[in-house]
Amino acid sequence: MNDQSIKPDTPKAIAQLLFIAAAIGAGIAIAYLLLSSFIVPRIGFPGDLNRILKLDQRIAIAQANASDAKRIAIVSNSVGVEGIEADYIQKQLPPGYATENQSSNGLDLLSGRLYIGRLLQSNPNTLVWILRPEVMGKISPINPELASAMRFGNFQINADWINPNPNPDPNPNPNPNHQPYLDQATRDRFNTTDIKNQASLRTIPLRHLNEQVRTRTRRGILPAKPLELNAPYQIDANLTGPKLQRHLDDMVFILQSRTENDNRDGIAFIEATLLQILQTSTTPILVIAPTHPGNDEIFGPMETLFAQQLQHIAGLHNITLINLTKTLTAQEFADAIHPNRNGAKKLSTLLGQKLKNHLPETNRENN
Amino acid sequence: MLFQTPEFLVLFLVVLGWLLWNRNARQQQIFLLLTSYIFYGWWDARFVLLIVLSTLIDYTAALGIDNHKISATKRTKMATIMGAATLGLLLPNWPALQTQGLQAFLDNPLVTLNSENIAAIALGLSFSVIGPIAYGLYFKLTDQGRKKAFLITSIVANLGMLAFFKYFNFFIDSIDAVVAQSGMQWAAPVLKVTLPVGISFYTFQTLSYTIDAYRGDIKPERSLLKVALFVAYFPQLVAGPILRPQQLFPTLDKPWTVTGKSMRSGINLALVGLFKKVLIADNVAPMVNTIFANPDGQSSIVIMLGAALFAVQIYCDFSGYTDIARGISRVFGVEIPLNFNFPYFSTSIIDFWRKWHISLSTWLRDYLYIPLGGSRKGPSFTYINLMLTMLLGGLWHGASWNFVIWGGYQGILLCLNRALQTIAPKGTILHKALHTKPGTLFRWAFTTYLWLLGWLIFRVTDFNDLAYCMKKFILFDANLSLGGIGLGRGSPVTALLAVALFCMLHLIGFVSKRWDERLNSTPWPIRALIYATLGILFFYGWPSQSSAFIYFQF
Repeated sequence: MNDQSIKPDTPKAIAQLLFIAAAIGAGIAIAYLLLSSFIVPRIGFPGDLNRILKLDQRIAIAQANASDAKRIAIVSNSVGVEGIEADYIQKQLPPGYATENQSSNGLDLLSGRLYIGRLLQSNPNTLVWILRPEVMGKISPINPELASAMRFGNFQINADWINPNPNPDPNPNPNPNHQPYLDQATRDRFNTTDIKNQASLRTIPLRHLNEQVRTRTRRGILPAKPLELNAPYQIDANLTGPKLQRHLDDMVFILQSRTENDNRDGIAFIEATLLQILQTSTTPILVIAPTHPGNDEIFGPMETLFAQQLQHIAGLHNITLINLTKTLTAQEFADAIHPNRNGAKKLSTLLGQKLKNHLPETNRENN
Repeated sequence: MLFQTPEFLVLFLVVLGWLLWNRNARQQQIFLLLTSYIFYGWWDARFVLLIVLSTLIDYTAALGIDNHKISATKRTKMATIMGAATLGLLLPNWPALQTQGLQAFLDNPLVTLNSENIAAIALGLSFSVIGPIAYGLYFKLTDQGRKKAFLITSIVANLGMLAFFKYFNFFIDSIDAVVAQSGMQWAAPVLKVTLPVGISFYTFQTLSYTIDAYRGDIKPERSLLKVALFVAYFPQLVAGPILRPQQLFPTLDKPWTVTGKSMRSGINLALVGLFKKVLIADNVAPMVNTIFANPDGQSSIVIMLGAALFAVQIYCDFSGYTDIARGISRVFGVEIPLNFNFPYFSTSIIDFWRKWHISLSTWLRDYLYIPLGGSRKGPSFTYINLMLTMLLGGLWHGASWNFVIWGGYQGILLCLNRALQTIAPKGTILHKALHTKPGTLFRWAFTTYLWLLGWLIFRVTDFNDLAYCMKKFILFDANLSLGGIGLGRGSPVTALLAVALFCMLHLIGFVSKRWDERLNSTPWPIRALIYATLGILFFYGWPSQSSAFIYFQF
């Protein structure tokens, strides 16, 4: 039984193990030092985590700045980030209101609902939600990294639509139609407590690289100003020729793929989010953003349909809907989606003019 | 317990310490068996009982085949263990106990006939009561009759457990669908069956033991401990490589020995596997999931990209697991055979199956294809046997029709490949043309195209989505839009960087030397630099959440 044909070599084996462990450990230590002494001080925390944390700060700043003024929070994705300047809206409004652009790049319906949940905690008087027609269809799954980031941004990750009652009967979830949009992996991201460092540290260099690549491909975009409440981005350049055409085609593809098979998940989700807002004292106002005239042939009928569907919801819940489609010319777009500087000025002024007739005098009574 | 978790590191170090300290073979084996059961029971303690049942059945069957009657005392002990094991299946599962405490018992009362309980009662009746009666009767049969009876018992018991735990709902759902189509009324039984991790792997491994004993290829082992360790040896327990008795039993006759060389070589191999799994596969997975979550509407280029990314993901996931398993075992002084041999450089489908999941394809060849007749009964039967083998091989992967289709697809490709070999044997112009440099490149590209299409069938489970993906893969739509893959966010960049890194390293490994071998012969200062680089990569690239190996579900 105790055949010792191969001689055990315990000291050498242990030495090998320690050597390998020490070298890997040294690598990890170098990576950590690089991160703490170079990457973070020089680059900061770019990417979703930084943005989300900054959004949280931005809400707090807006709340502090507003003092007694009634706050009007504009919420949208990059269309609002790049296409809305709060100052132009503010100029159209009567005294006593403070407009803040709380839009955030990449804010889709799922992450938007989380964000709106956080925004409602700061108790704005009015929440102006700017939407484009492609959101009415299939809902994109939430980016897991974004879910991780939101975990640390004081967002409403414990809302019942994210973490429904684990025992569905006899008390069914009040928002059952939302559950399918969050898969288990995303929910896990929300519920994991020890991922802050992992979520941010491991992706910092790659996210930085990603942002660099993105910025280079669309020259003219200045660095984001995440704490800026008026105009977080400024676009100076316009896409033209084949680049613009490719972007326009991309938008058509996105619209068609999301609304295929008459999918209207987005509309149902928007309604559920509005119901959530109506549970608070904040007044929601819906706005349909203009789309590039170059895509009118495809987008035109969809815009009409989108307006009809939103009008239906707005009518049901007594919500104001402002339709700004067909308000910008092709020259007022920087690309297929985002208004340029002139477009932003025009769009913001128009929105301000329309808004002034619909703003509530006081906060709504809680329902 | 996943390889890439801290708890596994602790388990590994404890086992390593024991093997370094203890030079007694039997004590080493007892310790290895216990740690193997802990490793497996980490998912759900009840799963261990299935392995115990399987072990006892095959141990008894193999000895019975060898006309060795187990003593009454030992049989009583084994029957008691079987009874305890079957009763144990009635317990609530381990995760439930961890999260719910005593409530888990209240939620899983012993008297409720849930799926696990029904399975336990069936197994208990079969093995604890009928088994001992049958055992006596078998020895009254003729020599050949006894051998067959024990073999059939082993096959039925093992495949029965596999069929119940893996395929019960699949069969019921399929019958239900057929009945519903015909308009008849039928109330399908509803059972919640938990799939034990890696059941297909250890079932095949343990089956090879009794079949080899029946064929006379091995002398059945008298030591229950050794058989138990063969079935449950933890590095390769849940995702292979599927071991043959001849590969492990000879190593159990002496103590396992850890040396400086085995430590270095084993850890190098395990690190290569860890690199593939956590840095490549797990970083590619989110993008693959994004593409195939809603493939409907995606352009051809996105579907092709998705298929290629999945090919990288599944290879790095599965071969990564194998490398870690082989590396750990090598540290312990035991060599586990190669399971992947650069399959993506294959120049034909036959070649691919010689290099992909080698332990499964050789198992299917030795225990299914050849017993069916192989190529001995003429071309028609050869093709039928190939199809049957690959269909069952497909079903082995999972209880889903897409795996059956995938198996059928691979079977058709193998038949066509074989037919081509017949049409263009060595010496013909076509054969010569196909074996020139451009011809070889063409064969590689075409083979790659075919297995990529196969991975689509494997990955996309919804039939409508699959039909769409296949259409887009075969008929290129010339739409170069990448709008649907989330470019501009972090994960695609990470995934594409990971794939580029993998392709570069994999190609270098293929044309020169495997990376673990290269590391073994590298001078220590350079090795230290490589390890440190790995440390840096792990720090930045380790996924924020560990994900299970894809093949664990099989």
